[in-house]
Amino acid sequence: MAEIFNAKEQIQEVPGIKEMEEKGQFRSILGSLVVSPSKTSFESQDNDEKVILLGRKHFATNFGWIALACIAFFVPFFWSEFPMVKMLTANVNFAMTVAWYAALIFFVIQNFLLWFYNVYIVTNERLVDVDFFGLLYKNINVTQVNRLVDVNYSQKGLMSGIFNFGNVVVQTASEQRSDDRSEAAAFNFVAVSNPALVVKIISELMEIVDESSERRN
Amino acid sequence: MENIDAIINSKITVSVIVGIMVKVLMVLLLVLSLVMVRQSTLMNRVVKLPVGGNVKLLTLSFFVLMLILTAIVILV
Repeated sequence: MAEIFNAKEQIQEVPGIKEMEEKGQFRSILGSLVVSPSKTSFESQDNDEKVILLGRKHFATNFGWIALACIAFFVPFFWSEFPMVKMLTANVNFAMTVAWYAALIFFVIQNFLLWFYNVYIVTNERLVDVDFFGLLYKNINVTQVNRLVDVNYSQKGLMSGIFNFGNVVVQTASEQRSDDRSEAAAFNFVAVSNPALVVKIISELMEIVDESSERRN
Repeated sequence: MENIDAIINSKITVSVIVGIMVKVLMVLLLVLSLVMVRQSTLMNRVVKLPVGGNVKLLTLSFFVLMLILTAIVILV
């Protein structure tokens, strides 16, 4: 069987990655965009496959639930003003406060988990989009780099302009459909930090793969 | 017989109803926290990240905290 491209030799050639590695940019594992993350792997990873880019939604997308949690934190300070709550015994009032803060902590941890693990991964061979919805449903899309056709991005709204995030849509040759019907394309990276940079790196990777395929032909 | 009389003569107040609802809520949160521990383990298996262990520890700590708080709320 003919070898389409050699993944091992192409990883060193992606100029965008090399440049950022040298500058030491995007190295924090808790960041929205991580270049060549260390000790990072995924379920179906091959032995010679290396993760070159790991990304998740921009941190600014969390502002909504963080603000909600901050407001909810102060609610028990004021609910004793309500006549219905005044009628409750001290024990029930205490239990209610405990339940409120327990629910609040649960809400915060759950939202953090969903943000932290909803990632997209670019390796020297493949593109992997990991989506978790709630606590009980996951959707994972995988495609080979040599099957990528087109990559583009869009930035909508004031927040995306201020914090520099946007949606990156990657078209594949197979028109792969996601199980998640809310997504138009299988590879739709939502609210990606530095979308222009991500598009640039994927494009460079595509070019390298095309060149190595042509060389073999 | 005395127990039945006690039940019949007992008054249902707002405090009693809210108290039962809060206890049910705490048990529900306890179950959800256990689901969250399991889910964080599975998430960490799908994508293995360097701080994944700490995240798992966080969810596990929350579960233990919930266990203690649920016991307190039910006994109060």
